[in-house]
Amino acid sequence: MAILTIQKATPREEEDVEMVYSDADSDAEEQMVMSDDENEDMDDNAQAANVAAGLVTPGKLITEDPIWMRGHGTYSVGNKTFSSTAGVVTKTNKLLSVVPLRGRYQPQIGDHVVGRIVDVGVKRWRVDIGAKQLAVLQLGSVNLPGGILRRKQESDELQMRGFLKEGDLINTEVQSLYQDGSAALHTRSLRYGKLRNGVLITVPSALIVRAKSHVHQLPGGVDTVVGVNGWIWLCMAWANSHLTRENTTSITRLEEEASLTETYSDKNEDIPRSVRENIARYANCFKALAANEVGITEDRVIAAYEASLVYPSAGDLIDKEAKEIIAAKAIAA
Amino acid sequence: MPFSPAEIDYLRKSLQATPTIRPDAREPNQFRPVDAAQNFLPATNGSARIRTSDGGECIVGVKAKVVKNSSVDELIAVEVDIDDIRDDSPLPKLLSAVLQTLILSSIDTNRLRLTRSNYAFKLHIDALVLSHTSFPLNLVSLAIFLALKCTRLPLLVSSANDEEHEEVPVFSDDWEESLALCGGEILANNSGSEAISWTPPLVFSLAVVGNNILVDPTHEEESVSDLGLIMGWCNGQVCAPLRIIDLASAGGNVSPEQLSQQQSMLEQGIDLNMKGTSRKLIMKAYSLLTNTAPEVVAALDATADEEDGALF
Amino acid sequence: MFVWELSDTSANCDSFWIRRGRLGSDTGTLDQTHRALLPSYSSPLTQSRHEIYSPEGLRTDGRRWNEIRNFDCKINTHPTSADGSSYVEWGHTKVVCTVDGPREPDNRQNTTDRAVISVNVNVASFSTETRIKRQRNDKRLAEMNILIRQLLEEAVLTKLNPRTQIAVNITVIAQDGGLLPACINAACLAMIDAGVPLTDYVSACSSGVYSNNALIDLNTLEEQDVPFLTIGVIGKSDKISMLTLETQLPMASLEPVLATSLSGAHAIQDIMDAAVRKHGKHRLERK
Repeated sequence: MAILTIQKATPREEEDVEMVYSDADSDAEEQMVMSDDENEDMDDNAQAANVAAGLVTPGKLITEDPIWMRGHGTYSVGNKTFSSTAGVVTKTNKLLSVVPLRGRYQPQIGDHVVGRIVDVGVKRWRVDIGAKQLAVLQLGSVNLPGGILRRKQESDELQMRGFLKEGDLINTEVQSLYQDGSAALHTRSLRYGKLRNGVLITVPSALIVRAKSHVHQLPGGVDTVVGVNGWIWLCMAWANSHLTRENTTSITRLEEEASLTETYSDKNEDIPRSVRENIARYANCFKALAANEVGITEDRVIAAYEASLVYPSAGDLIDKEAKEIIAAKAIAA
Repeated sequence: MPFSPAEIDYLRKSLQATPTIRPDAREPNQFRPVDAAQNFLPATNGSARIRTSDGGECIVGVKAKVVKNSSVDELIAVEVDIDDIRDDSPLPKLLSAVLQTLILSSIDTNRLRLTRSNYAFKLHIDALVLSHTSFPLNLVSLAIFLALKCTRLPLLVSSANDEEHEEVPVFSDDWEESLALCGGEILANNSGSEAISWTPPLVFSLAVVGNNILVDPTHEEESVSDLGLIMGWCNGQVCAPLRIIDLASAGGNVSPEQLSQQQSMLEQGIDLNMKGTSRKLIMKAYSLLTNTAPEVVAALDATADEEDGALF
Repeated sequence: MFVWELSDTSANCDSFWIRRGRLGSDTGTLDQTHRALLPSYSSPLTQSRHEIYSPEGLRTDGRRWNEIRNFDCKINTHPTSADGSSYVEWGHTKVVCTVDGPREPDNRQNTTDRAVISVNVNVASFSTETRIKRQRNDKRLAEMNILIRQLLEEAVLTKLNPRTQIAVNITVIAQDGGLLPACINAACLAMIDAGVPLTDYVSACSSGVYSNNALIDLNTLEEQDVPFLTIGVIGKSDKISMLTLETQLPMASLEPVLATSLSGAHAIQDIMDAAVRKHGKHRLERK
């Protein structure tokens, strides 16, 4: 284990400068020419022609065809549609958009995300989810102790900090989007709520692969919530964890109340040493995948973990080479 | 950025364990990998850049200026500029003061001497911290080390003896004849003493959590630390400055709510996070550094080279 | 190989600066053939006594009137610490730019129906030949901030990100003329990297005039001696979106100087576009 590893800046690669210029030329030609494939289904997809394909940059003309609806990443002047970002042109039905190469997390309805309370306001909290704006969590969108059907009382408004205060981490879902693209959240399910018994790590949101469930039980006694926004919560697996319990109909009222009171507790359980070490190991595995720009799925994380067991000390995983080895094994799996 | 009570409790318990469990499973004496570049600013006498994995970045430029009749204490000037923070606020001033004292006490100023009585070089060491998430002392110290290691000073060709007849210093046109600041030759030339090379000093900030000492603490580790220790390292041993600081808030990352909270706690007579520390812990930090710092210096020396670097 | 020279030898001075510079080039990395203009490597040294524009048509650094200095740019240089970032080396001027945003505004009162852009240029003390400690209330820097911000506000589709702020931080680590245009070009690249919507590339270039010869892209020596202006353009249009002129320029020279700097700015856009595409291809291949 090296005390300190120092990487020197890699020298610039200049070999493909010439190639790049010629590609820029050919892209310009592509824009106005119909490709052969599209010629074949001309009758159905007459509109598929005359559209620039692949990588575009700001100001590039995508199409002059007025039949397209303009989505994100584009703007129009008259009939002409231009790209406003550097990204890839995507067509979904009649919607033409450019997906940027990079950008902050863009919330979508149904996304399971992890967020941090930043502000307590009147009847609502504002939550940082790593997007362009803070998300809003209304008081009416959370479960309060006492039962799901409990009526909201005035005292609740005054006691909002008793439930969620600045700095708290929550597990939540995007319920809807406002006009400007910012998110409205809710935690109206026993699956969601305050997070305890673990740590938060962040990875770029683009690397999170959307899946049916974002809560995973990992080998080693660790549970994880992989937020679509790139915020990942790693914690101790919990037998009666409200995280992993399905929304069954056979919950008794007592159980429900008990779990709801726990939901807003700040106290951690006793977490054994081995679990803490595994959590640190998983954190390094996630970071290794992120550093090598590998899409994050449950299988890959488990594969990375197993590959990492070769290193008895998880602290060795912070080195660049170790990260690359683990990422390679994770992709291969 | 405030953390939740659950996070703080988890972190603290993990760090206080014996042996300690750091969030990234590092050993207590293990540093995070850094990216380094040197010698990329031709307008300076020496330059270096360090980037840490948590997004910290520091660029250092060293410029030599000929001064006349200057006292020895004024031959090194260190200025640390932290992005987003005003120059006259406590953090940059603390860093500048610590580093200036450290370098001045470690360097043999004969290296900077030009003529026997009048002229000498003054080194302006400017550190620019472009971004940081944790207390930037380690970052700046490593960058200054590398910058000094590649600093070169022009060779004096006029007479060094100006006690009787004052002469404005004239230097050789050929950069190949310039002398490395840290090399032995420059000392031998200027003072006739042995040609010993100089290893620039380093200064570290260590986090104390319970009975554990941690090097290169992350922002999270700093937030739950009991206090921080600043310790210098030069000429192969621990040296001044030796200070106790409140790491949790010293990084300048205190939110207005936390500040007002601390204010009200002070008014009520409640002790802040910063607890006193025992002699045992300071000795523990001392021996940790004694065992670890030589390897840090070795790693830095291995990186340092005379060739021109590129930034990217 | 390095050469340096004594910059001032007046007998009275009690301190003077030593300057270093680079002579000659490691070829191969520095010649980039380019459609409109031929950027050539500038070696600005030891020739301070030479003419700004010799009878053979050569400038102090060996360039011709229509050759811009070597423009090298990189995008996404700070992937973990900023939403968007870039690095520009134009001749010896080196500029790092990071963009933070669009994100929630720090000041809640500032929320409007569009994104609020702020620009902060930070010049290092060691960036110039002579070390100059940066003044806190530097009016020149404040004005540069405003100019860059206004230009970006025209190109950025701010209405697409209401109630957000976009903070642009530009750090200058070396200066050799063309500071404002270098900052603008770096800011454009960093904005693109951050995914901020723009109508087109934003670029800038300076040019001046010396005894009826228009000279493009001036270095420090030329900026001190010759009247010049800087223009900013959005896209390949001929519409000038920003213009600064702080010296006295003869009216007759105005048009050729404007035309020269316009073509320089357009040429820069092509170079930047190539760099963005190269980066984009690299990213897409990795996925």
